[in-house]
Amino acid sequence: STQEKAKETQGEVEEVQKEVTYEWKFAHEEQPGGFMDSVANEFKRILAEKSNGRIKLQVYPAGQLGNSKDLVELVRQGTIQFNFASTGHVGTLVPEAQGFLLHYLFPKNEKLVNDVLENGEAVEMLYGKFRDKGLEPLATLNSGWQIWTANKPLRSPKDFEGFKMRTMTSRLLLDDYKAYGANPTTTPYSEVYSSLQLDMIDGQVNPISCIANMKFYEVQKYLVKAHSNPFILTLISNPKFFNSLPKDIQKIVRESVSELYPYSTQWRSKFNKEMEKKIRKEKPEIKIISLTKEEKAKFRKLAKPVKETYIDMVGEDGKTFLNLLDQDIKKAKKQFN
Amino acid sequence: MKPSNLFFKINNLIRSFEKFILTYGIIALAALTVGNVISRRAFNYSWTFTEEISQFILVILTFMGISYAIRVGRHIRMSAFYDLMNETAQRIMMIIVSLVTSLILFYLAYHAGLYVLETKHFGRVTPTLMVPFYLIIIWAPIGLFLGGVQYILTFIKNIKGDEAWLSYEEKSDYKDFDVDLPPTDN
Amino acid sequence: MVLMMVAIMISLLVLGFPMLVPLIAAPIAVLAKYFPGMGMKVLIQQMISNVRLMSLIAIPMFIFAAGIMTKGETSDRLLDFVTDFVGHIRGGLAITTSATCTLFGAISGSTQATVVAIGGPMLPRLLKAGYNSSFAMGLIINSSDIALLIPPSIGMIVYGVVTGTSVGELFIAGIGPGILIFTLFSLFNYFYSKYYDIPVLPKATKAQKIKSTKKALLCFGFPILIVGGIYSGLFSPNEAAGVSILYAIILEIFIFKSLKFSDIPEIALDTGVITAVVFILIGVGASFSWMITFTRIPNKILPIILGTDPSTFKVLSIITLAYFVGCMFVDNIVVILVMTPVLYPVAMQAGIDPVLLGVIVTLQAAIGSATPPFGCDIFTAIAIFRRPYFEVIKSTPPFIIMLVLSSITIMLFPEVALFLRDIAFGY
Ligand code: NA
Ligand code: NA
Repeated sequence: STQEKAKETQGEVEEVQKEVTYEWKFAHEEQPGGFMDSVANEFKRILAEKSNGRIKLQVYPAGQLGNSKDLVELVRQGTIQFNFASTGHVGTLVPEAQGFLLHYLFPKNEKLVNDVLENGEAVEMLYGKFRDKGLEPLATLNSGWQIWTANKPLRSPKDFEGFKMRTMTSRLLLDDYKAYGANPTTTPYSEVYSSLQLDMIDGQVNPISCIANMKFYEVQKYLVKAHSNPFILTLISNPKFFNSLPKDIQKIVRESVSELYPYSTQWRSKFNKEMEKKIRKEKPEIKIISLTKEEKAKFRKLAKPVKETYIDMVGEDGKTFLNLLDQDIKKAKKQFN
Repeated sequence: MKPSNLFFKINNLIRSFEKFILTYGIIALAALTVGNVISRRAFNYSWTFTEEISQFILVILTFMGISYAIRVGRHIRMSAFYDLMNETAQRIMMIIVSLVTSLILFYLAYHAGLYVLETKHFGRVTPTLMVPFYLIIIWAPIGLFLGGVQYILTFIKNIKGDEAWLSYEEKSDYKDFDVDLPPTDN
Repeated sequence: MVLMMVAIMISLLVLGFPMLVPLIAAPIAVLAKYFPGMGMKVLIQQMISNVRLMSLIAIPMFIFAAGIMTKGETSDRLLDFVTDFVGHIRGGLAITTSATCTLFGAISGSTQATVVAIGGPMLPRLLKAGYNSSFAMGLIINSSDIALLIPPSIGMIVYGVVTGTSVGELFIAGIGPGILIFTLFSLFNYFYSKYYDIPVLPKATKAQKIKSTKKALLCFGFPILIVGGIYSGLFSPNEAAGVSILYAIILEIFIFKSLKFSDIPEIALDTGVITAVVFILIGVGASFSWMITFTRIPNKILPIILGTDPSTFKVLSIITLAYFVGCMFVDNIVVILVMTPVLYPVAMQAGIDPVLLGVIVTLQAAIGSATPPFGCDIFTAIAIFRRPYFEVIKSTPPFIIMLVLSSITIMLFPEVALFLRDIAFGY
C-alpha cells in the first residue's frame, strides 16, 4: 500500500507540474510590425500552442523597457527572459560578434546565409562567447540585407566622397564607410528622419523594415541594395532561468525556437516585398536599385582591410571566427550551388 | 589632527572636486559641441568620439551634481507646506527628510555599486572608443554615496542646532529677484 | 499596487522631500514588494541610460548660452529693443513673451530649453514692467509648451517613431494648434494686463527706437543663426545650442566687452548645478516609468475604462485624460513612449486619424510638462529662477484651462490641426 501511495503522490506531482503556468517577458527595441516584433509574436504563439496555453509570453516592443544594451543586461539579470541582441549592439559586450558587421563576408544567396547561421561552426563558437558573458543564445536569425538610402545612386566608392552616412554606433561600421570615402556619423535613431529632412546627413543604412517603419523613404530618393551585410540578430535568454526549467518545458522552448528559422525566412521574403511595394506606392518617384557584381566588387575590395581592424580589436579569436565562417560558407556553397 | 578636522578637510576637497566637475563638464560639453560643428562644416569631418565623451560628461555631471546641489540647497522639492510651518516644525521635518533621504541614497549607492561590479565583471565597453563601461558608470555609486553623506551632515546640523537647515551649508533655497520691483498688488 | 505608488508619492511630496525621493521610492517599494527576486539594479541602469541621451544635450547648452547672455548685455539689449517697440501696448511684454517662446519653440524641440533660453532673460523684464512673479513664471512655463507643437518637436518625432506615422505630416499638423494656443494666450495676456492695470510704458521716441535697434542689431544674430542654421541643415538643434554659446562669447567678450573669460567658469558652474538638478529628476523619472511599463499598469487599466465598442469621442477623451494624468507624474516624452503602443490600436479601431491623434498626444504631453505636481518645465523653472514651488505653480491654472480648451477644440474640430496637412499633402 505504501507503493500505491507513492504512486499516487507521484501522480499528483506530475499533475501539479502540468498545471504550472509560465509567464515570461520578451523585450525588444523595434516598433510593432517590424521583424523583431513579428518573430517575437510568432514565438509567443508557438510557445502557447505547444504548451497548451501554459506558457504565456509577454512582448514589450519599441524599447519600452530600455535600449538594446539595457535589454541585454536585463536578460542577464533575469528581469526579462528573452531579447533579440543585434550584433552591432551586443558587440560592446561580446566583441567577437562584431564580425557580422564586416562587409561582404556573405554571398548574396539568402538560403546559404540562413544555413550558415543555423548550422555553422562560427555561430557555435560565438555562442560560447555569449555564455561567457552570462547569456544563453538560442538562435541566430537573418533579418534581411542592410539597405543604403540616399538622394543619389550610390553605385561606386566615388559617390561616397564626402557623403555623410548615418550608421549604428560601432567602430567597425564607421571604418567600413570611411573606407568607402564617406563621412560616417552616428545620429541617434529617433533623429535620423529629421536629420535626413534637414540635410544634416546625406544617407543612412538599415534593413527595409526599418526604412519603411521609420518612413526614411519620405525624405530620400534612392534605396540601394548593395548586399554589404545582413542584419543579424541573436535570440538570447538567461542561462539560470533556462536551465532551471523542467526538461519538457526546455524541449518546448528549443522546438519553438527552431521553428523561428523557417518563419523568419518566410516573413522576410513576404514582408520585404510588401514593404517595397508599399514604399513604391506611397512614393512612386523612389528609385530602388540593385548593385551589379562589378559595382559590388569595388566596395568589396575597399572593405577588405577592415577585417584586420576587427582582428586587431578582438584578437586571435576574431581570426578563428572569420576562418570558421569562411569554412561554413564554403561548405554551404557546396550544398546549395 | 583631530579626526573631525580631517573629515572636514576631506569634505572640502570633495566639494572642490564636485565644483570642478560641474564647471568644466559644462565647458567641455560646449567645446565638444562647438568643435564638432566646426569640424563637420569646415572640414566635412565628424568627430565620432563626441557622442561618447558627451554622454560620459552627462553621467558624471548628473551624479557628482547630486551632492553639490544638496550642499547649496538646490534640489527641487514641493515646499508649500514646509513654508507654512514654524521653525521648530521645520527643523523636525528636516531631521526626518534628511535622515530618510540619506538612507535612500545610500541604498541606491549600494545597488549602483553592484551594477558597476557586474558591468566590470562582464567587460562591457563603449561602442567606438572601447573604454570599459564601468569607468563611466562608477560615478553613479560615488555620487549617490556622497549625496547620502551630505544629508547625514544635514541631519546632524538640524539635530544639534535649534534652527532649521536645508543642508549643512544653506538655510534656504530661495533667491530674491535681482531687480528693483515696483510695488504691485496683483 | 497603483494605490501604494500614489500613496507613497503624494505623502513624500507633501512632507517636502526633495523631488527625486518620491519618484524613486515608489519603484523601490514596488520592486521590493512584488518582485523580490529581481533586485534594484534595473532602477540604476535606467537612471544612467536616460541621463546620457544625446537629445538632452541641448538643455545644458541653451542654459549656458542664456547664462552668458544674461550675465552680459545681449539679453538686455534685445529686451530693450522689444520694450521700446511694444512696451506702450497693453500686455505688450507678456504677449511678446508668448511670441518669443513660440518662435524659439520653432527652433528647439524641447520645452525645457525654451523655459531656460527665453524665461531666463525675460523674467526680470516682466517683473520690472509690473507683472507679479507667479504670473510671469506661469506665463513662461506655459508659453514654452508651444515649443512641442511647432516643428521640430521631440514629442512628435517620438510619436511618429512609435506608431509609424509620417513625421512630416505631424510637424505640419502641429502648426495650427500652436497658433491657436498662442492666440488664446495673447488674448488672456491682454485682458489680464487690463484687469490688473499693469502700467504701460510711455511710447518710445523714434530716436530711442533707432538707438535700441542699433544696439540690438548684432543680437539678432542669435535667432538668425539658430533658425537659419537648423532649417538650412547647417547644424542640429544640439549643435545650434553649441553655436549660440560660441556666438554669445564672441559678442560679450570681444565686441561688447561686458564679460571677461574669467567670468565664464562661474556661469558654467551655475549651468552645471541646474543641469544636475534637472537631470537627476529625468533619471529617476525614467526608473519610475520603467516600473509602470514593466508592471503593465496602463495595459491593465485602459481596456476596463474603454469598455467594448467605444465611440470616437469617448476614445479621444480617455486618451487625452490618460496622457494628461500620465504627464502630471512622468516626463512627457517617456509618457508618449510608454502609453502610445497601448492606446494607438484602440484609436485606430475607432477610426481616428493617426496624425490627429499624434497632435492631441503631443499637446497633452506639452500641457503635462507644465502641470503640477510633477513637470519637467516646472522643475526647470524652479531650478533657474530659484523660487518656491508654490509660487511657480500658483498662476498656472488659467493657462492650463486654456490649453485644455484648445485640446477640446481640436477634438471637436480636427480641421484646426489637419487643414494645413491636407493642403500640404493633398488629401
Ligand atoms: Na519645436
Ligand atoms: Na506635469
